[in-house]
Amino acid sequence: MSAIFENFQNLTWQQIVMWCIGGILIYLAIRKDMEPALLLPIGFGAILVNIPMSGAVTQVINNVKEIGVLDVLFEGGIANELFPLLLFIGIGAMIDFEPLLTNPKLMLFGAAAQFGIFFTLVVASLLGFPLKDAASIAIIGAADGPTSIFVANFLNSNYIGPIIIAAYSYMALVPIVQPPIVRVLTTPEERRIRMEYTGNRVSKATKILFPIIVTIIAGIFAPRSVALVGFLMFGNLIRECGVLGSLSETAQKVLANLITLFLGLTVAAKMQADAFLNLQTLMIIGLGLVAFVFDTVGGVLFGKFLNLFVKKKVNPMIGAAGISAFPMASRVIHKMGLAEDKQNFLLMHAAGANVAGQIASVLAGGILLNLVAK
Amino acid sequence: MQLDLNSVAPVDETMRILVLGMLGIFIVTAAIILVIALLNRITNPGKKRNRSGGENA
Repeated sequence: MSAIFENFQNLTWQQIVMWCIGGILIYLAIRKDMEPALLLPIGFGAILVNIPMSGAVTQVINNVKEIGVLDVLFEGGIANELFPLLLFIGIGAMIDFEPLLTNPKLMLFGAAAQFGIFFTLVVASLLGFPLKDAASIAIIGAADGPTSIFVANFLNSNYIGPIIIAAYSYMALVPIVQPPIVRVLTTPEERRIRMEYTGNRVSKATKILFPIIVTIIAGIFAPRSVALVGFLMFGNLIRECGVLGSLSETAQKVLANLITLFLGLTVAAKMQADAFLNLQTLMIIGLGLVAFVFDTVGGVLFGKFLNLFVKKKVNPMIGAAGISAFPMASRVIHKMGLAEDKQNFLLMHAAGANVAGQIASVLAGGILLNLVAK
Repeated sequence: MQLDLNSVAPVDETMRILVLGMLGIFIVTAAIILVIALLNRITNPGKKRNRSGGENA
């Protein structure tokens, strides 16, 4: 009889706290619709791995190592960067780059809105994080889960669990985080600036050549980004080529859903109480916010800077859409534009900056790796 | 210079990464903008004719 209850003795208060954290993530996913595809599996996984002597993760019991399935998935899917890369094929197949191709200057907003990544690297370093962890934390500012996983794993960070939680949580919180920053940095007159949408069509040849050429350029300038950019652009090529409709649909739906399902659960393997409940996790959550805030600041201030030189003024709010959180950031900016002026339709411009941010965040990850992991 | 990934980097080193990182992104971005503009020009010759004809003025 005692054998049935003996595992109770192994239960710690830290594990109970992790159950609560898992419960909160599940609540946020279901009731608040915050990135449910990721936060729900992560929340459930957090409970799963924090059951004493959990068979889901590798344990040493009586000097015998028992391999857990989540660690097998981690080694097979995240430690070798397979899951984030496969997910990028699906994401690439989902993205329509036409708003960017009609107005390529919007790429600049995507670039400017990566400022938070590098700023956070400086702050994290000042707070005492070793360079590999500071860079891994900084990439939360990419506002892109697969890129965060790829970089943090490549640098063998000790904090991959909290980093991924912070990345996905702040992506879901974009509608709450961005508007107050944008309002502080812009005047009502600036928010009311209307931008003409030409509606020029882009040729099919451009749409097909774009992913190939971006892969080559990114590969030459930042070779470490080429796997991420390449898989993203391969997904987009499948979408745009016009002869692989079935594959495109599979990549957008089945592949993306399947990888997302495993990704969430697998990430939870790094959420065991002893590794997760510490001061560093709280600091990482705080630094994630710093990254998102300064991404937004970088994008908006770049818009204001650009207005000093151009005849046709741009609405600086679209700079905030340059962060990668797609399509949330562009919707937020579109709504803010409408709130100031009911006839101010910024969606296409914001969407262009937003997809530019998707490319720029991947480039930023690759450039960061090039600079840090020499 | 070889960086020690397991030690805390001095602030001048992280500032150097900040400057080079942003510079790198803008250089790659500029290259991509040029290529897109070139692609649009090459693959949309009709648009240029229209503009010279005053339709898009």
